[in-house]
Amino acid sequence: MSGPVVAALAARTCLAYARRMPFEHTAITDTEAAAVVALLGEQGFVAFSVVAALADAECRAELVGLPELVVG
Amino acid sequence: MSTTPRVSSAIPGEPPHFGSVLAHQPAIAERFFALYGAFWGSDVLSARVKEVARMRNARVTECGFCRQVRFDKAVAEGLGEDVVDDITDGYETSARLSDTEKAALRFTDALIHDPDLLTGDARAALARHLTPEQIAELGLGVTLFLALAKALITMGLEPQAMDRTVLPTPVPLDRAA
Repeated sequence: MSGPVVAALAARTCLAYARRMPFEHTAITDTEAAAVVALLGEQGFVAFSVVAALADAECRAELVGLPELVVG
Repeated sequence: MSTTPRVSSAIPGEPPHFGSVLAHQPAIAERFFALYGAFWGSDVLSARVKEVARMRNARVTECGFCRQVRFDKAVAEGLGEDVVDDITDGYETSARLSDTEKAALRFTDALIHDPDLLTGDARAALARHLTPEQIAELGLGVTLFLALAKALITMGLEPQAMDRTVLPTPVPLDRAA
C-alpha cells in the first residue's frame, strides 16, 4: 500500500476511536483501542485519548453556554 | 467497559494508573496536575460543591474509580455518604443537598449530558446561587472531571474492584510537598 492509503486508513481508525468518545466511551473495545496503539504507539495513544476526551468536554462546555454564563 | 489496562505504566515499578500512564507524556502530565491542583486549591467555590459535581459526573460517566474516591477537603466540609447517596436521579427532592448544590448539579447534568437541561428556571437558579467567578470554576471543574473520567475509561484504567478511598485533595504545585 502507498503512503497516502496507509495514512488514510490510520486516520480512519483514529477517527473511529475519537467518534466514540462523546456518547459511547464505555463501549470502545480492547480491539479498537489496540488498533490505535498499533498506529500511534503508547505515547501517541495516551495523547490522543486525552485530547479526544478534552475536546468532547470543551465542546460540551461551549454547548451549555459557559462563556455567556460567566461573561453575561 | 475494559478493566484491563490498554497502555503500560511509564514509571518503572508502578502499575498502570492515571499518573503512571500519563507519564508517557510528561508535558501533558505536568500541565494537567498543575491545573487540577490549582482548581482544587482555589476557594472561589467550596470543595464540597466541587465534589458534589465530581460525584455526579462519576455516576453519569460510569467511572468506577471516580465514584470510589473522596477528597478529604470536601469530607471536612460535611460531604458525608448520606449526602453522596442523594446525588442520583431525583436529587432535586433531596433534603441534604443545598439549593446551591442542586443548581450546580443541574449545570453538571447539562454539561455532561444534555445542554437543554440548563434553560429557563435552571439557568436562573444557577445565576442566583453562584457568582460568575464560581460558575467559571465549576465549568472548569466539570470539564476536567468529564475528560478525566473518559480518559481513564478509554485507556482501560478502571479498577475491577475498589473500596471507597479518601484521598488528600490535590494542591497547587507550589504547595505540594
